[in-house]
Amino acid sequence: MGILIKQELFKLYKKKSTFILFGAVTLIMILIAITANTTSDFFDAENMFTSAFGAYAWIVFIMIIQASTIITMEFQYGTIKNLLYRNYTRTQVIISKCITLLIYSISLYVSTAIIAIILKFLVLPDLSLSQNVNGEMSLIQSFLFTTLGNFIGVWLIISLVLLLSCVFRNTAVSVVIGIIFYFATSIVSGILFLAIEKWEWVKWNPFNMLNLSNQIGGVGDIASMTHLSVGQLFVGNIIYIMIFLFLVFVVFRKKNV
Amino acid sequence: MTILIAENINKKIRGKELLKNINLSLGQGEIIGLIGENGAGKTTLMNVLLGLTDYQSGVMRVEGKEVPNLNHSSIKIGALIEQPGIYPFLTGYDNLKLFHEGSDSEEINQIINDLNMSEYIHKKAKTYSLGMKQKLGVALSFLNHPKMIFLDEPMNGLDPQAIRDVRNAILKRADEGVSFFISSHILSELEKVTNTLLILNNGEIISETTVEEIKKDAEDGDLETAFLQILDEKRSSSGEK
Repeated sequence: MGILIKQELFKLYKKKSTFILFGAVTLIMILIAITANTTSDFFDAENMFTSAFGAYAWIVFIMIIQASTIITMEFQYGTIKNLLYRNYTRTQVIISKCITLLIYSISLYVSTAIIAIILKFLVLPDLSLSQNVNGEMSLIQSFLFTTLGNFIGVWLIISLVLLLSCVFRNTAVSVVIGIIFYFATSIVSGILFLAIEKWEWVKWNPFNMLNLSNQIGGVGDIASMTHLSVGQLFVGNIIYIMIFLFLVFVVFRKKNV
Repeated sequence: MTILIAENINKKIRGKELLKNINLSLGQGEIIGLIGENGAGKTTLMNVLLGLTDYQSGVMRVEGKEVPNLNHSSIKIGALIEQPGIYPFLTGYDNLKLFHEGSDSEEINQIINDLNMSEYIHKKAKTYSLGMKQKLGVALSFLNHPKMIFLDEPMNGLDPQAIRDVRNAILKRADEGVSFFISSHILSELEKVTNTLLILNNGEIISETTVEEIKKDAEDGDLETAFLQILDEKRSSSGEK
């Protein structure tokens, strides 16, 4: 298993897109931080900081691209056979891919969080990390909870994208479907708020769980729409991630090579 | 010493028999050539033996120990099945390094030298020609000192010099005790490396013989003529057109 994870990380390291996408996100963060400083009427510095200067919105796309391709490319390039005949089981192969995505996502979130804090000190020195946000938490607490909520929300998307990518054999198709799916979930999530008002049990649908980071960040009165507490959303996300990843294992084990 | 024994292997998909009562054995250092028409079941047989696809019945033994397939055995296997599985965004060398299990690069360099790949091995695989990719696929199958190597159409897209390189590399490893299972449509090339020939027709082994034996029966002493003769005889005996 260790060898498989090492191989997956080697592939990620050697892919140009891994660094280009991260570089692009860093650049966007710097631009947003500077804009937040110069045009404070347009960009709220507190909100910009808690969302890591927009980085979290872009990390979703990076992770969708990586999750869409990590399985599909093995079938497109015919390399899946190289993995499977070398005494590795399909379960080991798929677990190693999930662990690699986990390592990559943690690296992305930790790196962007560090960059966001550095940018705060460099570009927005007046913003205090201990200042109160929403009357409940300090700015740094809000930032860390938003990061955690976003990370979990991204994993819910990743688990679904992985499940979708098990069906395809072409990376480009898989990425496009993954991104369309992401936008579709946002729309469906909005529509389902109306359904939740009518039927209380609908609040447990997986799309409602995607509101975790918004609810943590205190965006509007989202709690009255999700009908769930942050704790319930957190547990719900974890359960759905486990279910979808289990389905990924089942589908991958059956997939014809 | 016999490395692999397969007995009465049967595979069906949606009622269609893809492999029928396959029996074969592969000795240490032996090179078995597998020939048959397109769709005869050559790749399916290799996939079944390697554990890339399942089968309904039969027994497989590796070094005397019963296993569901080679993926469950303790011996190292190498394979090139259908197309060479390579990552285009990596160099040829990185593709080899990725699957290499040791820490030293001596084995990788040896394979590169054996297959005459040093000129382009540090270029990205996406820039390779069909023949270069095929050679890299063969090189990948040689990695990690396998005891048994499966090659499905290894000479595909290779020029005469590359064919000679691959042939010599195969013979060198067979001399060192590595067993090979090779399928190819280029019969003239197959007869230069193989000891035993298996002829597969409609998922069934219809002949197991040596190159010398099979050529004796041909009118012109040519392997291709002999192969076609056997297929024609099989068709007429089973009433096929």
